[in-house]
Parts: sequence; structure tokens; C-alpha cells
Amino acid sequence: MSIRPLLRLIGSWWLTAALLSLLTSAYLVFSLDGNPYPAWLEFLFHSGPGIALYSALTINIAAATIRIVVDRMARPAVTPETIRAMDEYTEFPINDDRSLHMAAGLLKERLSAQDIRGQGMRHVTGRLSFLPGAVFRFGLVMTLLALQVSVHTRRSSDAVFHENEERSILGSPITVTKISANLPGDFLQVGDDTTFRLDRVSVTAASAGASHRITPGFPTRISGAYYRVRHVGFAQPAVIAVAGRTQELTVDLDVLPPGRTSILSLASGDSFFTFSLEPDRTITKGLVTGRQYDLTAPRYRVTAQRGNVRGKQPSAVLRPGSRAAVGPASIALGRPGLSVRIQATSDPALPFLYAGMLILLAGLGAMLSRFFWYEREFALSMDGTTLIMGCRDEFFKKWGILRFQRWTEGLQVAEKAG
Amino acid sequence: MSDSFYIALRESLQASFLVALVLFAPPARDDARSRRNALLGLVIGFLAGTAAGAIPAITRTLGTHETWTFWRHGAETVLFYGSVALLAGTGSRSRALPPALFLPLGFSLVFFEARTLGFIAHDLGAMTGRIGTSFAWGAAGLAAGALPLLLIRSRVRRLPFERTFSPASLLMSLGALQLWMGGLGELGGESVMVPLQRGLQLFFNEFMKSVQSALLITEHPFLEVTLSGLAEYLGSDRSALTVTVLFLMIPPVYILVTIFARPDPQVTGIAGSAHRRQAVAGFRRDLTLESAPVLTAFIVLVVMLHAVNVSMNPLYDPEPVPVREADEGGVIKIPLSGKSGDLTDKKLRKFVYYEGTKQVLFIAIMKADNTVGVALDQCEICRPADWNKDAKGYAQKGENLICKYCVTPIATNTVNTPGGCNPIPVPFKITDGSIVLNKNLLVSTFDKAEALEKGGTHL
Repeated sequence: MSIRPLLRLIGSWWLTAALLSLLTSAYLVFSLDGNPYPAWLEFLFHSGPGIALYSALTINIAAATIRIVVDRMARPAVTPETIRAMDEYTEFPINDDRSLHMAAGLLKERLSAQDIRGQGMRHVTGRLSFLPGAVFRFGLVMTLLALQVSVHTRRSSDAVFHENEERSILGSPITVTKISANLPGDFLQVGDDTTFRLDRVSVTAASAGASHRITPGFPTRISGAYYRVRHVGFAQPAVIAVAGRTQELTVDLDVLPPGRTSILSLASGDSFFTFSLEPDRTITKGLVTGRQYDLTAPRYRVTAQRGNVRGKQPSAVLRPGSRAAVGPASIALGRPGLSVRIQATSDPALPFLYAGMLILLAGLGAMLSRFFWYEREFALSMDGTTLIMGCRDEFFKKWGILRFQRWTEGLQVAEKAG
Repeated sequence: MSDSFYIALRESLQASFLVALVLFAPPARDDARSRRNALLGLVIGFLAGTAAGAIPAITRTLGTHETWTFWRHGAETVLFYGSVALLAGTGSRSRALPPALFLPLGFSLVFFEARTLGFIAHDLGAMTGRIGTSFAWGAAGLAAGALPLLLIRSRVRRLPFERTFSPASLLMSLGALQLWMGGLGELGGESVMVPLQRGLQLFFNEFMKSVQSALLITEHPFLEVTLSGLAEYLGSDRSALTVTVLFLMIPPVYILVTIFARPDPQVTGIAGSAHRRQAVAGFRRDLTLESAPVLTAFIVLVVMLHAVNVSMNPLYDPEPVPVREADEGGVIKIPLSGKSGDLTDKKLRKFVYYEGTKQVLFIAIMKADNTVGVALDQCEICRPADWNKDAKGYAQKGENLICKYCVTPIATNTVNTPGGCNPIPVPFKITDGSIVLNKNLLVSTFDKAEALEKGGTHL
């Protein structure tokens, strides 16, 4: 089997439709068990038949792209038969020199010497109009390949950092030099529907002598791994004295958004403390109550709890820099900072995944041009003493045929008029 | 007269409409082999479907009602999209339907309906203790429903189907009508629109999360993450609705495009202007006739879409889903998340339990605090008159339930709290991800509510 029929078979749209139908059917069958998506992903990326189906689809799309490019760049020679297979054709008898000159004169406006192809002439516009689709499919193939590689090679790890702290993630040491966030000084929480958003979160990190900025947005590449901020909380220095024993520590308080409670367990005994943000003001207007927080200088409600004691527990409200007795303990709070959970990911396919997605989106955007950028072909050939002319439009064939009919009618009228 | 008669009559009328389209439109009208295959498919489909629904042993073996509904929707979709396959790559003329395909076509047209009919006839008979009578009424209903077609078949045969239906538009119309009329309203949740939209929403939501995870830009509850707004939009119910609309509109729009993409006939070679005008007029008449069934299907699909989205917003009043006693007996189990839906979407669900001739309607909803509320679909105060039975019970609007009679909004958080306009609570517990109701308690709560009504407490 030569390469072209094989390419036609592997790159046929019917095969694409069949493979997509199989993928959809697999999803539908998994949906019978209630939660289809994770099962479907497991099938696609971790089972033999799923990977085979996935690979077949990738190969099919790649082959379809090659097939289209080859077909569009290498057209067969113009013959009377190829013209007769076009959208519309007409035959124009050339009986004498006069009609030959007539036809040649009229055709001049549509063709030039460079359109000569073999025994006939062909004029094609929009020859490269396959590019948007080819770019889109190239991006899709790249994404599909990168995704499969990414699923099997990605490694992730994370760690909590405070300012000026060095830790090692995925074997690479990294030092966080600065953590900043736009903490609001007057966040007003009304009911349960208020959305708390924390923007401009940024971490300056040093690694191998270079400084990097890590954010919760796109990951930052440092020494081959990708870093991003996964979570932000308060890093609260505290001195806790319980039963004559004093502990000085920095507590990572996961109390954002306001209303959330963070637990601090002490190493000894079954007692622990809960921290939650305490509003600076409570404003009531009619039925609506709002709680206002100054997150630049957070106030905490600290409650001492014991494992099996029920009923009201001792609690106190503390501001950084203050000290209070909470049940059996005395707690003093220092000036708070921020803590961040940074995720590091090693994934050799991630750049290709991004590149694939960008190419795919670029192709998708460019495909809008296909409404007016499409291939139009006009061809002619001599069959004995008959001139055969035909046209083919990639899209909007009706208008192409009508245009061709109007033109050939004009040709015939001119020929009759002499 | 028995309910099974009316249900069978309605379904038979609907089915005979579809059967007429298959048998009296070309190619089956003109091709004996295609016609024979279609009839054979219809007969096998009817017999197999009736047996699958009416014989309890087979019904139990072949899966739940939800599984059957799933496969029915699959068959409807294959029919509907078969039209696109017939047209793809042909330019503007549809491929012919091979005679062999008429066998599965006839089968799929009646099999699923026959199964549900058999199931309903058996169930109705079992409730009254007269299964034979129920089936007899069902058979009478089927015969009565098929009668109009038998009487006017010679007239129907003369209709110009050959000018109105291409094989592609015939398949598309059958698919659209099946999507519209398929299933029995009595069994609830029958329209493909609701599971499709819900399934797509789930898929898009999960898919966007996967994309974000793959690109290492996963969502965070309060941190600003790049492109999270776009991902949220693409994973929302709006995308699901868009794809549902595309799913429904692609076949009719595609067929319409192919019909109108045909160039006008070339008339320059025709002598005489009258003949030229005649040729153009004939061509345009053909276009009109060919587009008529497609436009009709289009309207059917738009109405379906509208009906479903009216049910989602603003007043959501779902059809009750029948429930049965669990195998262990004495209890009714409703999974919080299962094939019939997921309560975590916080949408109102209605259920019906049949105890003899009693029809106990009850509701279940997941509240804002993620606890579940279960109550009868009726309150202590409002009881509409018999002529206004549709106003009985509750519907959902946003986060509130609305009493359909007095239009009082009831916060969903108060479901399970008795009194006032609240629905009458039903005791239940949550075990292994399922709502578990004591059957006797449910029925006795219902009986007490009925006694209250008779006592004159209701308005």
C-alpha cells in the first residue's frame, strides 16, 4: 500500500468521528455509575484500551493534518476528467480561429501564464486557507501528546514558608525573602454570601543566586521546576505558657476567609486552642448584620479546648502585641506576618502543554477567517476541439456555481454576438 | 375506564404517527424489502419491549428504569444524528437508507415505549390486584390508538412524502419526535434535555478543573488565580445550555443548509420565458416542501428547550419519580447521588410512593447548609379544590420553595420544621449516602395529613 491511500485511511474524518463516538460512549457507560468523569480519565490515561483509543485519536488528527496539507499543496494535473468532477463545468466548442481568439481574450481576465499546469490551466485562490485548521490541529495534537506525557511524569510537592526561611522542595533549596498581599483594612462581611478575595499575592524567592517572583497565577520556572502559591495564611508569633512550661513558636493560622477556624495542638496533653478572626465592628441595619475586619492587624478569638470536656470553653480576644489568659494557658501574640504554601511541580511536558494550548487557541481564532478565506479553483483544458472549463469552491459552493454560470453565459453571449 | 387504557391510547397515537412516517415515506413506501424489514422490526420491538416491561423477572434482570431511560436516549440520539451521517461529505444530496437499516429503525421506534407501557400496565394491575384487566385495557388502548392510522392509511399513502422527506430529514424528524414524545411522563424525568444539560454541566465543570490542574492554575477559594473567571464561565451551566442548544440544532440546521445550498437551476438553455419561470418556480417549491419537515422539527426542538428551561427558571416543578420499597422491606431508599440525579445541586426533587390506591407525594431537597429536608408535597393550610389540583404542593424558585396555591415563599432551610406554610415533615435518616424513609411512617404521615383535610383544618 502506498503512503497516500494509507494516509487517507488513517487521517479520515470518518475515523475521527468513530473514535470520538467511542470516547463519548465510554463516558456515557461510566455515567451509569454516577460519577463518570474520574472513571473516564482513569480509563483514558491509565488503562490499555483507553490509551490505545487516545493514541489512535492523536495519530488520526495528525494524519488528517498531513493529508490535508499534502492534498492542498500537490494537486493532480488538470485533465478533462478532473474538470468534469468539479462543482460545475461547461464545454465550449472552438470551431474556428475567431471563437478561439474570442475565448482566449475572455479567459485572459481570469488566467495568466503562470496558471499553466500540464495539459491545462488552473487558477487557484486561497491556496493556503488550510493554515488556520492545520495550526489548530497541530496545537491539538501537541496538547494531547503533552497531556499524556504530563500525566505519567508529573511530580508535585509543597511546603509552607515564612519570610526569610529556606526549605527544600523536590530536592531544590529555595529561600522566601518576601511575602506580600493586599490585605484589606476594612473587609466587610455581610451574611454568608460575601465573597472574600485576596489579590496581589506575591512571593519573592531566591534560588541559586537568582531572585524570582512566585504568584498564585501562572507557575514560575526555577531550576527546572514550576512554583506557585497554593495558599496564604497568617504566620503568628506566639508565646504560650501552660502549666509552667513556656513555648515560643510561630503558628500558621489558616483563618482566611474570616469565619474559618484554625486549630493549634500543643505537643503535650489533650488540650488544644482554636483561633478564628474576631470582627472589629459588628454593624446591624434592619435585618442585615455585617462584620468588619481589619486584616492588616487581625484580632483573634482564641478558645482553649480539652478533648472530652463539653460546655462553654474559656476564650479570649487577642490582638497582636497583647497577652491574655485563655483557660489554663497564658498566650502572648507578636506581630503577625504571612505564611504561604508553595507548590513545586516537576513536569517536562508542561511547556509543550502551554505551547499546544496557545497554538490551538491561535488556530481556533484564525479559523474565523475561513468565512471569507477559502480555496477557489478555476480550471480549463482542451478536449479535442472543445474547451472544458470548470470551477470548484471549498465553501459556499452555491455562490461559486452561480458566479461561474453567469460568467459562462456572458462568454456564450459574446461568442454569439461575434 | 382504566388508566392503562388512556396511557396506551396516547402512546399508540404517538407511535402510529411515527410508524406512518416510516412506512409511507420513501424508500419504505416504494421498496417492499425496506417495508418488510420495518414491519418486522416494529413487531419484534413491540413484543420484546412488552415482555421486558411486563414480566417482573425480566424487568428486574435487565436493569433499573434509569438504565433503560439511558439506553432509550442513546437510541434517540443515534436516530437524530444518523441524519448528519447520511449527509456528511455528500454535498447537498442525502445518501439512501439501506433496506437492512429498517429493521433496527422499526425496532427502536417501539421497543422502549412498549417496555414502559408493559411496566406501567403491570404496575397498575398489581396495585389494584387485577393484572389481566389492566393488560386488557392496555391492549384496547393500543388498538384504539392505531385505529385512526388504519382508517386513513390509503389517504396518508397519497401524501407527497417523496417531495418533503429526504432520507436524512426523515431520520432527523423521527429522532426529534422521539426526543419530544419518547418515554412516559408517568415515570418522570423522561425528557433527554434535563439529564443532558445536567450531564454536560458536570462534564464541563470537571473538564475545566482538569485543564486548570494540568496547566497548574488550579482554583483557590479566595486567591486571585489567572483565568479563573474564564474557567468558571466555561464550566458553568451556560456552557451546558449552549452545547445542549447545539446538540439539538446541528441536525436540522445542517439539513436546511444543504437544502438551501443547492444552486438555482440553469435556465439559459430553456426556450420560452414561461418555461424558464416554471423551472425556477418548481425548484423553489421543492425547496419549500423539503424544508417544511425540518422547520417543523426545529419548532418542536425549540419548544422542548423552552419547556426545560422554564422548568429550571424561574419556577422549577419537577415530575415526581416513582419509588419502591427497598429489598430489605419496610424502608424506601433514595440515594443522595445516583443515576436519577444528584441532590447536591440543591434542586427540588419530587417522589411518589404508591401504597394500594394511595399516592403519597413527597419532596426532598438539599438545603444551603448541606443538610437534607424531606417532607410531604403538601402543607397543613392550603388544599386547592379538585378543579385546581395542579396548584397542589410546592415548586422551587431560587433558594426558596413556593407554595403553588398561595404563592408563599418558604426558605428551604425551614423544610423539616412543621407548621404554617411549611411542607409537612416526614421522619427520615441518612444512611450510607441514602435518604432512608420508614415506609409505614411515610404512609401514616400522609394519612394524618389527609385526616386533617377531612377535619376541615385546611383553608
